[in-house]
Amino acid sequence: MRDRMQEALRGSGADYAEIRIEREEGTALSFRGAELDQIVTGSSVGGMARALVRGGWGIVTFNDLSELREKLREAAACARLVARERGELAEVSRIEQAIPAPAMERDFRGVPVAEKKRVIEQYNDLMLGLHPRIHTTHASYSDRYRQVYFANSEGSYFEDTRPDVTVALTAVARDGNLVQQGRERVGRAGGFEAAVGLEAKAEAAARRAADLLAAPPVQGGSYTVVLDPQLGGVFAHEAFGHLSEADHVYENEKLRELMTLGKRFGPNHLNIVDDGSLPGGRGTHLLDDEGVPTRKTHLVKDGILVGRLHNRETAAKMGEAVTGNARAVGWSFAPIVRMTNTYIEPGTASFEDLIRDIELGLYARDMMGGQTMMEMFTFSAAYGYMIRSGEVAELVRDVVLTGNVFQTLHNIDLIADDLAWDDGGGGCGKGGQSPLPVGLGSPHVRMREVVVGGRQ
Amino acid sequence: MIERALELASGYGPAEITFAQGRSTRAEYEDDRLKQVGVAQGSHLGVRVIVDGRLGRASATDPREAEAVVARAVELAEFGSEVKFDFPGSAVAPQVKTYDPEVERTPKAELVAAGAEMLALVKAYNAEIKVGAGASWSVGERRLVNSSGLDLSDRGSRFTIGVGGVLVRGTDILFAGHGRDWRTKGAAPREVAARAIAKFRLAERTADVASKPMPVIFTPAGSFVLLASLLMGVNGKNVLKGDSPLAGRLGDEIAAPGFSLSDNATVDYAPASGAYDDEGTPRRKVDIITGGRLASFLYDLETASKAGAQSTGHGRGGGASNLVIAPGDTSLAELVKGTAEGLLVDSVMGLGQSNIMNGDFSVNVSLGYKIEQGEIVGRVKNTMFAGNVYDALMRVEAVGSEPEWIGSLCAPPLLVGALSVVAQK
Repeated sequence: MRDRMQEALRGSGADYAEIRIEREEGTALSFRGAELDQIVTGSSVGGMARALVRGGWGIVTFNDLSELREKLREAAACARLVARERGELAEVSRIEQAIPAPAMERDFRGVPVAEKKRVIEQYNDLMLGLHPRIHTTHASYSDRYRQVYFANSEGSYFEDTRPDVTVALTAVARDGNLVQQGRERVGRAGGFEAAVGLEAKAEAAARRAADLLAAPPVQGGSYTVVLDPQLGGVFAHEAFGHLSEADHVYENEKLRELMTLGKRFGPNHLNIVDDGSLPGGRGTHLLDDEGVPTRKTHLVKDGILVGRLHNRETAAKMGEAVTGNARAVGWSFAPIVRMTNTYIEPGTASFEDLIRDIELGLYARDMMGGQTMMEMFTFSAAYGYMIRSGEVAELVRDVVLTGNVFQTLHNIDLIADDLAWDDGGGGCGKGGQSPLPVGLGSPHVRMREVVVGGRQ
Repeated sequence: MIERALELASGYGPAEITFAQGRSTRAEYEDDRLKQVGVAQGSHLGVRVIVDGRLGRASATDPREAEAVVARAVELAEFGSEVKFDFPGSAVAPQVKTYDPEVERTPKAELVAAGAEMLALVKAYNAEIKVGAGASWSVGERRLVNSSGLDLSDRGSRFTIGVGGVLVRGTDILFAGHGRDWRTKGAAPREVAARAIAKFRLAERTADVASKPMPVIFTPAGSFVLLASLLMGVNGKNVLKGDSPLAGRLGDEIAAPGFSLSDNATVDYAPASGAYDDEGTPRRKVDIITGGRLASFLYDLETASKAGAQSTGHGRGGGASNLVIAPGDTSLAELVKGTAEGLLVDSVMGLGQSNIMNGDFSVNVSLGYKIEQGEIVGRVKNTMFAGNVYDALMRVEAVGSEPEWIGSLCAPPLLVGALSVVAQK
């Protein structure tokens, strides 16, 4: 593979060119209610030839691996249509590396389908049997073994193996027209061991679904809100992290002005980090999809905006250091600036400190989903508790938080010391590339004046 | 290769082989500039085989792996779901135009020029808007053969152009845009740009909103708020499993009498049109809601066989093709004029984060306008609204007279009686 790729890269006529080829195989199965819903396996081989000519990109994607040289020529021809002024990529060292696969106690490729099915079926049965109000379930498993081969015209070459396993367990409880769900997920860059021993999660999902049936919807309004680590991680990623992606920022002067390094973004105790080199993280890789080493990047330090996430192009344009954040979700996509493992660093307060002086507030827990449109964010907690007179009180449902990220960051007034990672099987979507495995981390975080949607 | 795979798979039971391949070309503008030109080629081989009443599925990108894919599908069938259907034989299908040879003759330079024209028009309106634009075409061919004797080949083309932009003022960021997706090359860049500009124009001023119930007019694009839950509700599998609140309600009044919705794959050149679905079932127009009454669910072969129904041509999975909401007789201008205080909603975020199967929604307005005394007075910010789709459908007070295609949805504006609105001060 290496020789073919490097041979094809000679004489593309582009200022820079690269080929990325991926082989992938995987199995997915899911139960819905008591029955198996589907079970499927797939394999794919595909690649991308990417060429840069005077700052313009040309891209050719393919399943057919023949005539790589021709594909590079076409990529260069596309790039010439885009070419404008001098364009450059940040300089990086030449690399040559075959990265070993992350440790897998049990390689899922060797696990019989019967066993995969049995493990998930057991979780499914646990959920179905936990409470009479459990109406249906969704229990799914998927594994994917992705091998990446990369070569560029600067002589760099690497191979990387990226296994990924996810289990998602959802229980749906019903009482008349009222339907509530509880959801637990696990996702890991590892082997089948990640999918076993999840009985407690299955029970937690089912119990929560049943409990939420009896919970009232939260009253809409503005509250002091305490986010649990899962929601805090979503907030760091969705509401703030995406604004730190330099491709959003680099050619847009006004956005650049909003995101000027050195500007105060929050209180002194606020620190937000992206770290693609974090051992064992779901968004961890040694090298990104341009062959740049990943690293720890502070986005906000002591409340001040100090960094952002780059690929080679944005780093060169903004005159900042590369961060190793160019990632592609698969062979048919060009690498774009993405987060890896993003988290809010722990503070010094305890959870009790956060809630002690709240007369009426909301403790929002776990995530159902999140979305942003630059300054505006909306995210849904899976469930929440009212906080009354400094105590966690009754369970509430339909907790949707919304606001302006700039205001909300300033309104973070307390951060606890209990950083935790969400090992959820969720993924990030951007530019049509989804789901990309990412890590989300946070301690408990308290924010003032958050608008909570609900029926009034 | 495909014949051989079918022969091999048929030795185990009813079988279906699908081979699809396609190619596409696109030009993409970002932040006021041509960002990239790209070309793609792809292929997909899918195998389904029913062994002893159980379904096995496998796929690959490389058709030369056909035999191995068949072997994997057969192996998986042992663990697959129990099914009661057989694959369809040849049947009469509607005549539907899906392919325009002009589409793939479009030179790359023409796509580049279309993007440039839209970009220039939006910049001419307001140079401060950072503009993104794109133009692309794709064509695909498919061959589907099965052990019931079906051997069909079809193809389709698609031509898409769109323009959008972001306008930043202080900490306020506004997104607006418009696009057109069709199987022919009809859309004029000028018209698409004009629609995007009109949205920015309406948003030049901002308006305050008080937290209270008020009527909401959904634009064609905004009507996804209502349709997302409804589509899950009419999905045959959700009905069969009893998860859909519409289960058992065929014939019931579930919407206002003025509301009719159909799924129509037979509209010439519409984005999701086609004579056959993914399983080779002929497609037809399916009335989902007629005059407010629930008329049909959407079924694929597997679910239909379990529900004692016929496939409606919605393989696989019961997903919709082109959705068409029948227009009413009130113009958008009249709808606005008749509204003392309300919202006009074009796009939202956060859809799908509530209990969407139940019909609940609680969404943030990403592009929407305040209506006061029959006039659009400005864009709303930091505003949410919430409700339930099935409740809202019963309270569709007026259906607009100007339907518009948004992707594969053809919808007029819809006026829904008071929904709960929450505004952040």
